[in-house]
Amino acid sequence: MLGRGWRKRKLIELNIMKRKTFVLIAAVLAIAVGLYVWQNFLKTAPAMRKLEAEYRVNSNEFYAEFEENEDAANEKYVNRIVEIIGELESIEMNEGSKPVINLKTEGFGMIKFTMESNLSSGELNELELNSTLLIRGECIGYLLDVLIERSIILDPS
Amino acid sequence: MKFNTILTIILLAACTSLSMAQDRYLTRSGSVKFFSTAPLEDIEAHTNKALSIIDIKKGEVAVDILIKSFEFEKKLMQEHFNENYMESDKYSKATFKGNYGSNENIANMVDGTYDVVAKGDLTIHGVKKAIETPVTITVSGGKLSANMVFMANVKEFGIKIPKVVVRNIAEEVEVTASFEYEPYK
Repeated sequence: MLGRGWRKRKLIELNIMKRKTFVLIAAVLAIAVGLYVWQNFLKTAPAMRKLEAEYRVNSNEFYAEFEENEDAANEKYVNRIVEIIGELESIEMNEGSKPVINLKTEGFGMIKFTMESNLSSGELNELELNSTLLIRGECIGYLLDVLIERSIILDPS
Repeated sequence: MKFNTILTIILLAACTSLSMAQDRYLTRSGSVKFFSTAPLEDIEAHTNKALSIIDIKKGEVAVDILIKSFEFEKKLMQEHFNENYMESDKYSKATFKGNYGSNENIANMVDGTYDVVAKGDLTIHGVKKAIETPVTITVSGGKLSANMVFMANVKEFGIKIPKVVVRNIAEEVEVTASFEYEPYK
């Protein structure tokens, strides 16, 4: 009798173990699938404010590098985070598009920063033509102007 | 004699540069958008930062676009477009180089709207394809603009659409471009 009871208990314990293992594997699989979906389909790039710039340079020097040797400048800056200091030339506001801030250069073109998000009216009012701005963003290349995406305005001080 | 030679050279250079300025027109803020309609969703993106140069005497036109300058409504869609489909870190530009033949009215900037056919090479995702597309060129008060709509097949440019999203992205994408040119000085 004792032997049969012990065997029954063991069988129940084994079944519970199996269920626990199954639940554990299912949970691990669900987490793995969730992580894969998040990583590949849902995760977006971190906000520009959280990123660090690899270069900080003034707009004249930055533009001059592209004018002098586009390939070398592409190699150095494209797809990298940069911070550019320069004088505000103009602001472009097009319907359905993010605002674009243009900084002056001594060359043929400008540095065009497409902002990461729309500017509030307060931020827009603070922007004065010819004032000095420090802007961080991702350099995407040169088309007579140098284009910077996902940009944010930083405090120059 | 020497003075006359120098004067002639200066005058020639000035005339050449003046003639070049009248021949070539440029825009750095050309508008290009594409639209894809598929069973599950419509996808639209646009850029206002296309570079285009047109030579009205030769009837030549060139367009350069940085792929990452395309803006989407959804940030995630924009990232997938750049990373998964266009591989824009590797193939950063889309270009078109071609000509629309000679057109005396456009070459002489006579006001009017002219329908021409542009033929040339369109390069997207590192793949060059010969295309032919109707273009409407408008000359008005010394200003020049060009508008065109054409279809691009994503497969022909080596852009792979994973089966899982095949119902979200159309094989044929409608491309609309609009350029307002300024004299190129």
